[in-house]
Amino acid sequence: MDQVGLYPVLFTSALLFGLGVTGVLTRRNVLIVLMSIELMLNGVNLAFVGFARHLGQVDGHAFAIFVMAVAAAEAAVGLALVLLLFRHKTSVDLETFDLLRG
Amino acid sequence: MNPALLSLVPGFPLLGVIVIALLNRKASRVVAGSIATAMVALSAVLSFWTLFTLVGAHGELESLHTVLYRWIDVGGVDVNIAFMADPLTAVMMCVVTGVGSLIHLYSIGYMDDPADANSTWRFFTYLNLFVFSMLLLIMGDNFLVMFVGWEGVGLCSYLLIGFWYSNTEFAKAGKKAFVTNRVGDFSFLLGLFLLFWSLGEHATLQFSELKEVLGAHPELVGGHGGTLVTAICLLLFGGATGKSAQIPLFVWLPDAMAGPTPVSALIHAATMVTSGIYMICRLNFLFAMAPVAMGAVATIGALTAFLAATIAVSQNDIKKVLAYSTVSQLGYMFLGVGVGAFTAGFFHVITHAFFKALLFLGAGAVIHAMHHEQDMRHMGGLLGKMKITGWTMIIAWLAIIGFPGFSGFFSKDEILWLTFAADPAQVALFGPTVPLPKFLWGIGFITAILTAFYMSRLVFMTFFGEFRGGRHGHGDDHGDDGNAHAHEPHEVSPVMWGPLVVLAVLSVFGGLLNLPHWLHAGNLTGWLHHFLEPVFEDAHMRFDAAPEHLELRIMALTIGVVFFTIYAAWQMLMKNPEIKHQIEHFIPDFAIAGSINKWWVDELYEFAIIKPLVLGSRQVLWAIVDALVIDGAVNGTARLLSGASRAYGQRVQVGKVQVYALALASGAALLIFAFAVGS
Amino acid sequence: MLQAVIFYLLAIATVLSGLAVITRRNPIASAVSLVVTFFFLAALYVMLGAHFVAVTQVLVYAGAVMVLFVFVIMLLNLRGTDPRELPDLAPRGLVGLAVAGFIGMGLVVSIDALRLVDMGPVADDFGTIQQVGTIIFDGTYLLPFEVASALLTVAMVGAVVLAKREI
Repeated sequence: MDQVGLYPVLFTSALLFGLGVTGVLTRRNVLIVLMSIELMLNGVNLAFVGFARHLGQVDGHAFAIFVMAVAAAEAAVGLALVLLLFRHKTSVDLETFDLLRG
Repeated sequence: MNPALLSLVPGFPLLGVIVIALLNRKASRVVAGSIATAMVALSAVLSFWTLFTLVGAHGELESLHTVLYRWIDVGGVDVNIAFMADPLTAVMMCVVTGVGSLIHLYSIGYMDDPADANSTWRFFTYLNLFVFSMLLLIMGDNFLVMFVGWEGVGLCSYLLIGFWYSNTEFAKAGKKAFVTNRVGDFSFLLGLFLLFWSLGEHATLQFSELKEVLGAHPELVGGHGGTLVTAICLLLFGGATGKSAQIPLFVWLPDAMAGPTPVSALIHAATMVTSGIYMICRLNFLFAMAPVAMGAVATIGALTAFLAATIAVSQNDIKKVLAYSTVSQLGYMFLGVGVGAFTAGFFHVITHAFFKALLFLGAGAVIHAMHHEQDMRHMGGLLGKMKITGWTMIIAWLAIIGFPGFSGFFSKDEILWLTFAADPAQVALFGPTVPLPKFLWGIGFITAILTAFYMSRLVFMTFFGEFRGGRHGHGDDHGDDGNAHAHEPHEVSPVMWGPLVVLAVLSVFGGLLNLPHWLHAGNLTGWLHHFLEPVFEDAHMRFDAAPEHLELRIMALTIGVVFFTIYAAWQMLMKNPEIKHQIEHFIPDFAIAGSINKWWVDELYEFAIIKPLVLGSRQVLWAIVDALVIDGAVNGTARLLSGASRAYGQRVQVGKVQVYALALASGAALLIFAFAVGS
Repeated sequence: MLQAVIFYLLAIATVLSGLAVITRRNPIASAVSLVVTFFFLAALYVMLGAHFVAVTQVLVYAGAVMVLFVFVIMLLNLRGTDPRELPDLAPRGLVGLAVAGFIGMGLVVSIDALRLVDMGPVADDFGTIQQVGTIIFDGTYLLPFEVASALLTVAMVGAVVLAKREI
């Protein structure tokens, strides 16, 4: 990787994160929103791994693994909530969920 | 002995608290009582082991010390949950756990009222919790652990005084004790803060370090006799007046008799109320630097001893007499430590724990046998019906009035003699040359006469003469018993008289701990004095080396007057009531009324403190500050917010998750740009 | 040279498949694209010497998490959302796109300002299970690791409680 350097890795990571944010903010299907969140987390992971390679220390790998654990937990609870909401509203459209309206 | 074992001493009672509280109603009186007693007895074994370790070291081992864990470590101040056992602590530990386990055992027999069957587990939980807190108080190696114990015993005292809380009067007595103690505790805390603040960069809360710091830099607290150290000591002593029931905060102790009698024996006679004296003994090096504060301690002690004794002579409730007697004896102890006779004061703590616990337990046995009758006018002639209780009580009576040979004789006489002989410069409340010690000795001497009188009165009225019970129908609440013999007083069960006998033996022979030098008893002479010397030697207290015959003469005078008082009391109360009326004729009316009405101290406090406080709280704090200002501010804020939300908030709070996410992301975008531009 | 070519190809493939995730109408198509993204990412991790992370990526993400997603999609029985019922974009789609674009640009600008380039050779055992395991278990990250395990347990219990009709 000494021919490539750190920048391209970080740019890829930033692009993935940006794509994830786009998905979260624009899509109405709650399942795709959840997947976009996974995309954001993976962008972050790529940055961790890139920095770990840059610094020559594996701490970044440990962080990446913790991020994966959190992501797995989030996916499990998030999907359970989706199931519950679907039962309630027979829909996966985020626009139909407005119980928090003040 | 491994110092780590010290943690087990308070650990066992804590274990007892947890076990009994978890068992709660499933634990019967006997089960809960046995667990509690066993835990305290185990602590007692370890305490005696500690004591013998220190005795066996012959002064080569200054103290045992163990750190359980680091509690607070901040800014150069390091406070640990740590326990220490120097000779002073070790003796106190043995008294607390030894007398404590006897009283626990006695309680198993005492708490057999069927009405309490569902709450005895609560009683024993509190009792064990008390022993735990008391051990924290005496074993803590720093102020904070001591203060935790200090507050803990106050809490247990409150819980146990109000044990029969369905009786409103009893619950109020508990509250009174708690609030009065809080006043003292506040003073104690202020003293602590002032001490901590004055030490500056040398700040420490550990006793041994404090001793070193003050030894090296006495100027931090203003040097010997400085204003700062005087203020610190007076504030700390203020805490002691609360906990140990001295003027002006003694009013709670007589009311505290609402609790079950073993509680009065354990907490309000033998252990908790002596913690003020213990605290001053522990901080002897600090108090020795403040002669004015020492003078205040001695004077307050002497005055309290006298005042409480004058009240005790006219009370008819057996426990009230003992309560005022306790206040009075505590005054003696403060007199002792106040004039610098730390060993003598502490010696009286020990002997008092023996005979006063015995008196209370004996009174408890009488009350138990009389079916909760506490008025001595309805007793009399009980010696024939309750031989063991009666004779042990007589032993305790002889001990407290200072009958030669009994334990109280040695401790009280030592206090009186050392008061007489104290250097006025170390008791300098009114200046270093005023012969305050001689004057205080006079008060102590008169109090000794009063003590002999009211204690004789208690014993004569209870155990001698004719039985006066039964005709008042006090057994009405037990009417369903039907049988007349159910009301007849009878000897209590062995589980109750067993502790009485042990305490009686201790009351007789307790004096062996510290025999006076004129007995020429060899190794036994002043044993306690030598044992505690490492603790008190830095205080450098001075006493006149008066000729021995003066000491013996003063003692002989005391003994003679005490004998005469007993004889006079016998004549007055038992033989010839006419004399009593004639003598009453000579005493001013207001003095008699004052004694009966407890010198109107409660009424004074009610009028001077409680009334203005209640009135001020109702009319000003509640009606104006709370109802108008605070409520107005709170309700106004709420109204403002709800109005603003209705007007603007609903447009933002649409309830859609992506709107919130958008707001979040916009903020994040702004932050990222701020960082990007900033770098 | 070859290394750089492979890296850029992989990076472009990752971004493109990520783009596919957020542009497909059918959730199943999105899910499959996400799996592909994960695989490309795993390949990138290998190139960066993160062998253990790469393996975990495939096992946990491409394996477990994605199975969960597909399973839920199947359970809900969503066959390509009906366009009449559900327009593609949220009403604020353009605003969202703009904000996301700002965040992406901000990140790129920040990265450009970093001035960290060098990525020299590393030791042979860099990123192996042994090294990562050592750093997690020798105490540095032991507490976070235990907390993560607690988190997973809580999440599992929470998911069961939420999804079950009757407990």
